[in-house]
Amino acid sequence: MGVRRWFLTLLMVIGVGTAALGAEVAIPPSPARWATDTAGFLKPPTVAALDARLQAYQRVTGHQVLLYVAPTTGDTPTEDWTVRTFARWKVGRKGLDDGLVLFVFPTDHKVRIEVGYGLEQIVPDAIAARIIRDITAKLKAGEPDDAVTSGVEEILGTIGGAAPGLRASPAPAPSSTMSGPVALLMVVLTILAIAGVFITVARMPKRSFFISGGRGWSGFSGGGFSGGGGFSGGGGATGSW
Amino acid sequence: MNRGLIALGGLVVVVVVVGMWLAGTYNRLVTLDQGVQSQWAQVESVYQRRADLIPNLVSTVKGAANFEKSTYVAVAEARARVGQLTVGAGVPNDPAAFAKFSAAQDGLSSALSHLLAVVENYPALKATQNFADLQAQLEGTENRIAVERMRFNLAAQTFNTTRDSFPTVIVAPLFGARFTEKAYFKSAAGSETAPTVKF
Repeated sequence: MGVRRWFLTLLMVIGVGTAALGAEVAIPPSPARWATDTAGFLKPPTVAALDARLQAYQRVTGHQVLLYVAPTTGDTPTEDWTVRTFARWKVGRKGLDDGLVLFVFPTDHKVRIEVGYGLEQIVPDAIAARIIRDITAKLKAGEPDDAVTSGVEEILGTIGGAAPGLRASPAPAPSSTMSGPVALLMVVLTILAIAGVFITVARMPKRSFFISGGRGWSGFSGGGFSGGGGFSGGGGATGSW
Repeated sequence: MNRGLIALGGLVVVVVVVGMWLAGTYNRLVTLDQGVQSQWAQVESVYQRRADLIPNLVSTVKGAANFEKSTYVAVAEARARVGQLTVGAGVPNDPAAFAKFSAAQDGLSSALSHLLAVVENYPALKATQNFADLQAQLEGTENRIAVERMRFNLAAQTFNTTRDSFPTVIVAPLFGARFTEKAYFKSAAGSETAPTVKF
């Protein structure tokens, strides 16, 4: 009896947990192409043409600009979902953060432009909002293919081919001042630590040292889209239709 | 003689091991602290960005006929309080300064959202290009604030978890005030999930 009740409780907990998960639309893995439509919202030739356009655009300018159509973001607010998705896909080049994604969510009737940090000066929110208004006007008129195609062209026209400057890195934090005895202790410990490292190094197999980290920017020709390591910070604009 | 040498050798080994551990702990905390500091700089910069939009917003709504004066005066006052805040890398280490910062910024958020709700009654103002652009900038900035606050909380949480784990928690206070626990933004403000400004 006791065991059975416990088991039922466990089942209920699992059930509730699964239901809660179902309401949240998971962040999708990085798309393989520049233009992706998982909602069947656009005509396939439109998607193919935009994909070729965006792929060529990256080849020429280096900017990674994506189009992603998904049915819905579920219970997650649009902006929250898109900024996390952008971070997962790493759109734009590392350090330059010069990526941009145009998201369309037909079930939610939402459109969002998510702008990488490095493009915030070139595509400021007011400009992104104007592009979004142009897109939503055409979506309201029932012309999804034209809306998205001309929206992408407007975005590419705004960014142009110029390379953006690096994101200004925040000022380095001032180092804290240590009190005399602590500093002396640190010096002594450092010397000991260096000695310790030498001992450890001498005992380590050599090959374990040169492990190159980080997933680079895959440059194989004919391949699909692969994120370059860019980030966004919530810049851009959202619209609904 | 021989026994003394062994004892000395044992002592040296212990000191070296402890020293390595301390240096490693210190360096790990420095790295995490730098992460918190740079994320804090991001938070301050997006809040500054919002504060910079206020004068333009206030003068725009002032220009509209018969606009409710109390609403934009409240925004200007909240903006002034934000301007007096202590800023800098030390804020996350000082719970009192952090709470003050957070409260003043939340005050500006609510004054702003009230003003933007009132704007709904002025369709002529809403329809101008100038206001539409301002609205887009404010929405974008609120969204950036939500993102950078969330990332700050993550960085602070990573730091605090390491700092408060045993045995690091014992030695962390030796390294100075920089390695005190970091303060968090409270989710009660509601700005973690979505832009609070609705138009």
